Amino acid sequence: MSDRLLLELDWEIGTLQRLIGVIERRGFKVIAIELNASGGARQMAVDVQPRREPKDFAVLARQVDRLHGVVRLGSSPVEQGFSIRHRFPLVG
Amino acid sequence: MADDHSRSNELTGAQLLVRTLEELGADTVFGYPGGAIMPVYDALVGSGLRHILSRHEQGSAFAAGGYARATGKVGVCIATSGPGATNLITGIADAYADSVPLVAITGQVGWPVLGTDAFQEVDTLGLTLPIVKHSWIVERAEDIPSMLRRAFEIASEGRPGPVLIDLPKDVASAMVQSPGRAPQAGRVARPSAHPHWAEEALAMLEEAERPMLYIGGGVIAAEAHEALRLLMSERGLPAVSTLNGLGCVDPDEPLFLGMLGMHGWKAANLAVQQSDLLVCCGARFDDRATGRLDGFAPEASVIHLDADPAEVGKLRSALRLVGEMGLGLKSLLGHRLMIDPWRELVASLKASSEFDYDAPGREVFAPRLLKRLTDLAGDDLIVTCDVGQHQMWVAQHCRFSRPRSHLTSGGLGAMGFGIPAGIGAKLARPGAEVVTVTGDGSIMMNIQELATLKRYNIPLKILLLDNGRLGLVRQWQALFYAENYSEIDLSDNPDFVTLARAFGIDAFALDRAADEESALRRLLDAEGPCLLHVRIDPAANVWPLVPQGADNGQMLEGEAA
Repeated sequence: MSDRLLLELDWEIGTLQRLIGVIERRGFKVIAIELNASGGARQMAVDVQPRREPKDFAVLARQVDRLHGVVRLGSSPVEQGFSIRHRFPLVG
Repeated sequence: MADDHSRSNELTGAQLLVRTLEELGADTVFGYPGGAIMPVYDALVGSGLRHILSRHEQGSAFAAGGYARATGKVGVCIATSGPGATNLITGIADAYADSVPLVAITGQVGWPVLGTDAFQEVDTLGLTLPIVKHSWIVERAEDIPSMLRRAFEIASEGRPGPVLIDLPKDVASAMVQSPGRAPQAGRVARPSAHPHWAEEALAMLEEAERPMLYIGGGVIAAEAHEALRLLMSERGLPAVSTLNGLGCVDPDEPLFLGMLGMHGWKAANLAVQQSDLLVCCGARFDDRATGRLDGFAPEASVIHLDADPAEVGKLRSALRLVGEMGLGLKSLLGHRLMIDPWRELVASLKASSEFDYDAPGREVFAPRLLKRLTDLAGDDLIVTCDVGQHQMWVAQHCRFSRPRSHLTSGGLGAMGFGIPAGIGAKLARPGAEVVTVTGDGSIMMNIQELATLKRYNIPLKILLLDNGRLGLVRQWQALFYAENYSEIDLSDNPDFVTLARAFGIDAFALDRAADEESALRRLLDAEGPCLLHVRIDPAANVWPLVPQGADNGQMLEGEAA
């Protein structure tokens, strides 16, 4: 079972490293990432799964939401058969 | 080289940084110069900032943390790139773990060589990502005022914590037009909890038969201790505190049971285990406080008040009151709760759990000495602790009736914290009596800061409890590792009195219980910095103790518990 973080980010130095770092340090692994680089702020979708023990995705979402580079956060369970591409079409 | 920038429209990035620090209300900064940060040190000359030169960057970070913990203001520390920055890291991590507002400014190699493994280049931003609220590498000198202002806001707002600004040398040296003055960073208003949840919390509180306040450092960070005391007295609520919450409630309050947790007071642990509602105020269910989590207050529902939404529900499901702590506490005010049987039980637990300070023999008994220290020093005492047995004895036996009077590295548990934090606290609160309580292991981790004490003649008092061991490790090896003692012997310590005197610090020794009071008076009456070296029993243990993996009802008790 995966969950999806839908993010709008300020694209500063360290933003991506900071985001992935929180996900991994809090016991989740990244399954897929998609970045929409158009416009000022960047949109991103990240699918995650707990690495070992069951983890509360809602707690992770709040930990991600408090990062100062995160402008907006949404989340949803990953639907069967849908790739991340359906959410943010890649530029070009 | 430092220009008089007040008469010029052009400033270097470093001059802009110093001027902005002044405008943001920083009066004291702690640091150590080096290559990449030299433009900032050039700009400091003639500025209005008081710079305190530590003798190791870790000392700068802990001192800035001590300054911030004692006042609630943002502490500022400065270091150069590479080793200067890496030496700050323990202090930054300490500020992160205990939610202390700190801005760390590090020099960095210039942009043209960044990423080339240049001399003293290290990825400071990358190394500190997990232990800061936010961080930047400065790209343009023009951005320095807004970035610094935002750093002060982020460090203070919501749940406080450290912010890092990494300043490449070419940016610090670049000339820019002087912008307008940066506005003063004020406390950012925090939202109050949603009214619906507050109503539900009120109903839970009024229906509970055995409610208990569980107080953490978040109450102090939010300056909400008066609201907490009002709630406690108006509702007649019993309360316990975490290590970092001590000082929120006057220990003489009959329904206050002191610290809970691994070395908590027996009454606190037993009462929490029997409660049916925990009102958690700015605490985070840390494992040292809860013991085995699924055995912690097993019958209790939880209302959790916190500024940080990520903290609520992290380890224990709860009704969430996220927002301004003071407003959240006031939303729970009301009539005195009808819980007399519970109050009677709490009072009887408190009465039956008093510590016994009678210790036979002629040796100094550390718990009694620490109790006497606070009796003699009075309520305007600030204690900064190091880490180990003495830290737990301070929490158990010293009397803290005011917030920001007990400064301890609670979350990170960093040995070496005590003296530099004491330096920061004494400079921030010169009118207060500041005493560092340390151990023979901890003091050696930042012993060089005695030179800082001497240089600035800071009248910090140091109470060194010397058992010639890493006492807490020895205690655990005795209890849980079949007395297989491994690397805990420090019996070849230097002569600390001679060592302190070599730094120019007044020092003397206490060896006999009969001299406890006169020695404490001499320490407190000393006009300048002073160290009291106290030889204590190497076999003394801290009691009670909840073994790791046990619940808080399963305390071990030994002698004098």
